[in-house]
Amino acid sequence: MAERTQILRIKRQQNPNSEPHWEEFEIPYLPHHNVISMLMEIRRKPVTRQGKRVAPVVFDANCLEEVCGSCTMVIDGRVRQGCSQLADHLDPTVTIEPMSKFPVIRDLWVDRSKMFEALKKAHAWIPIDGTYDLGPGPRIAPDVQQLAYLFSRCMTCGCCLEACPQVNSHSKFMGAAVIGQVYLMSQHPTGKMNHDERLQAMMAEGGIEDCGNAQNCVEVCPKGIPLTTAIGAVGRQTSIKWLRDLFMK
Amino acid sequence: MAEPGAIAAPIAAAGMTADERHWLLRRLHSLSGIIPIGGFLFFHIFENAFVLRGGTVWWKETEFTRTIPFQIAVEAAVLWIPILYHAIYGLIITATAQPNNYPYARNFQYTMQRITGVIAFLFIGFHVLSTRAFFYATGTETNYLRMHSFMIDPVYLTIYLIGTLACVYHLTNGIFTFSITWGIAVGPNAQRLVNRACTALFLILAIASVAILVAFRAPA
Amino acid sequence: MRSGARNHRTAFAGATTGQQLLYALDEQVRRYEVGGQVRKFEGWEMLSLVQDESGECRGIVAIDTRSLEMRAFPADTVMIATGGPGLVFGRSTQSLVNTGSAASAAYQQGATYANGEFIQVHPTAVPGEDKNRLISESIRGEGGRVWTYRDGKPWYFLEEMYPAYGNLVPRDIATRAIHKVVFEDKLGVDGNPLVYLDVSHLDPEELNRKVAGVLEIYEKFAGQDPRKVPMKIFPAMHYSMGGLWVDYHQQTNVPGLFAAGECEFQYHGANRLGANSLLSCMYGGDVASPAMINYSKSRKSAASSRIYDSELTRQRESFDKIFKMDGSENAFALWRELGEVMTENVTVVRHNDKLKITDDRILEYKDRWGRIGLNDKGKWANQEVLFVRQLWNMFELARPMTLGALNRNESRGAHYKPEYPERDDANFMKTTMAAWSSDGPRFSWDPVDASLIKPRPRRYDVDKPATEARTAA
Repeated sequence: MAERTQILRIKRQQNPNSEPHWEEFEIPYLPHHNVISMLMEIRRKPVTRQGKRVAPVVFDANCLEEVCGSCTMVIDGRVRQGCSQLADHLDPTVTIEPMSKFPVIRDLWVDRSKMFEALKKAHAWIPIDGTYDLGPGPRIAPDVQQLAYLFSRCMTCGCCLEACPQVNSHSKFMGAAVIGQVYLMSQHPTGKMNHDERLQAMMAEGGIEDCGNAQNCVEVCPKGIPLTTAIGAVGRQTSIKWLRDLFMK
Repeated sequence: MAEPGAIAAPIAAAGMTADERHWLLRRLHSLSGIIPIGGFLFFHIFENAFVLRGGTVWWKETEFTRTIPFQIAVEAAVLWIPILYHAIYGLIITATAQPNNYPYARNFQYTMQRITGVIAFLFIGFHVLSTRAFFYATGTETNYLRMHSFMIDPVYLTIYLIGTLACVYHLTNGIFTFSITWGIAVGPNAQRLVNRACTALFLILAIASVAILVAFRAPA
Repeated sequence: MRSGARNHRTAFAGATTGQQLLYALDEQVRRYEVGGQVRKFEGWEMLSLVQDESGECRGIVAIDTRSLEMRAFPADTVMIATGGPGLVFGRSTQSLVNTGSAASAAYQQGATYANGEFIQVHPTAVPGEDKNRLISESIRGEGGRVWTYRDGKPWYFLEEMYPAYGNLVPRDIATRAIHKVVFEDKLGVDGNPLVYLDVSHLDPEELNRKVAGVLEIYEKFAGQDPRKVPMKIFPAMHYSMGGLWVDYHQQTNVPGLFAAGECEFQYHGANRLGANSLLSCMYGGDVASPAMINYSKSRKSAASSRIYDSELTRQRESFDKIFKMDGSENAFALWRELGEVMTENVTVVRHNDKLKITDDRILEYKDRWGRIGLNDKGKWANQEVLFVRQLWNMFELARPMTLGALNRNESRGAHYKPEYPERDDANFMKTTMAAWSSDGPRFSWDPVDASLIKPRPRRYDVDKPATEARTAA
């Protein structure tokens, strides 16, 4: 009997400006493989099914434990991390593409910096660190901690942007991740102090109003973060802010 | 994406930042879909439901809608301007969409909302031109006979069936997204509940609309 | 609770404490970035130090991993905080960026590498083809049992070997026991280097409440529910106690070059206690920043631009050579060989003959490195060419690790040599100091100052005497 193999159809692209093309690789099947370890296998023997020696597939990966978010890619049409996509759960042929909502650097490596730019725009930080001792932080109720914890696990991987129909080249929508972080920061007593400026950023073009409520974000989030809850809550906070500003200013 | 300048200009003059303007335009779009447009659709289905009790009852019960003082002004303020705003801004929003086929129910609803929005826009345009605009141009009211003649025409009937169902879907799903946008239904359970209620409402309104349209087929 | 510690000494954030710390740092840096106080060069990799005529560090040369553009970054002081060298061992619990390349580059330019032989192995990791994923000790803390089949029946070997502590023995003891059962007794699961870590006998609801995050990791990456079937685990390289030698101000012996975190050697001696890496990061960073400012102020003259140009030229030439590599070896395959040899011989159990063989192998790999054939000749986002360079740096770092272990004829902390099973304070209570030379590392030994706390035998079977504990405190 022939040895069981895994075929990988990979969408490759030389650089950000070149046209993509497909290449197929065939590697021996191993039960403990995941998509990243299979790409590593290709690096050790970068030869296509047709026997052509090619440059090894370029991909971004680091922690391989769903903490860094860098190996996010589209596998069989669904966005997820390559490191947690087990070979056991794949068909004999798997299709691997880079995320389509981010500029491709090369092959499967994409530039996710727009997500970090969004976090900057939304002032997604809590001003706690300083050059002198600020004393003990405020106490937070356990239920608030638990809620915040859910959002604190966001790894800025980009799944929610990739699956979102409102995130694309002709829209400025920043995606759900940043809304989740704005919500997270608003849970923190110190973070609340700057909540108004975060909401201001959320009210701008590309912010929360550009959400189309397709709710794919919450379905594809590898961490199960309740992003749609954040969208609802931040939506409410902007409603209140607007009314308050209308009558109080 | 360019904001419709005609609408943006006076708001900008009111000392609003670009950020707040974007928020307000979107929220006006969301709100106008419910009040007054959605409200009117409810009323419109309600008033026309009298046709289920016969054309004469229907004509009598809807009499007051034809005797509103300053009719054109009221219609413009309550209907034409909100609908035009909702439609045009809605098309601008739709232009930013890139629907995909992730296999989730809400994603399907998202795509449907945009499709039904475009259909509703075309249908309402057709409907208004052939009824109210026709009246203002010719002085002819769309009475039972005229509606009856439409509904017995299979082409008209099909247009009306698709059009009204699209409007009803767009409204009921719009109530659901409205509840999220404004932060009324925040958590997943609340959203699921509202979504179910809206689905039920869609079914009720859809059945009512179809029944009304079919009822017009009965001879006078 | 962490093993080896009997009091609560760590605040946890769910099952993702390290992740939370990482994100919090990222968040705070973002704040400074927006405030214009920090400029990040993401995706740039350090290649080498720029040193002036007197050997002082005056900046670095780095490469943009996308455009492959090389640039010299002049600096008053330089801080290396690049983490551990996990990739020297092929698959470890560390991330793929942990090549040790920056520390190795500094070492090759004159920075002393200290205590390289002290490598911590974590007893319970899920072996993967790409990396080994840590299964937290909290699993054993909650009642997880380690076993394998012997004569067709489950053998709870930790409980049998160490009746007092059972499954809660410290990391190195558990690691060695698993190693022995697998390699000496040949009792690994299905003949593979694996044993079971079992929580399937415990109440799933209680498990979910206490260690859900850990179990989810196994479920996600191994594809099986540990509440139902025992987990298959094996020890994995986890942490390097050794690293760049630094003084009390975190400065290396290269003036102007500082290091903090896992890439330096200072705080863990021969074995690291759980969470102490965080302590070393925080304390090291706290101490280093004023020291760096003071050092910058003490700088009298600016460096001449010549030194930057010449280092840049040196790096460009070295990349030109890599681009011309046209042999038959594959860099990634060679890396795997290095990892296998290092993991086999320079982790859990060290034998002098095998350490010698390992060093010979490293030399052989260096030779074969010259016969690498580059598959990717592209000048944009070429990961292979970057890796070829990192691989060389791994070889350079693997030598002080291996030879440091060879030289240390005793057993201490994570360093266990069956030929010399006892700790030998008379001869080896010393820091191993390796200085790079073209003929290999040159070693010297620096005595450890133990004048304040007298070393005592490391025992986990009895409580430490109260008086002694008080003195220690």
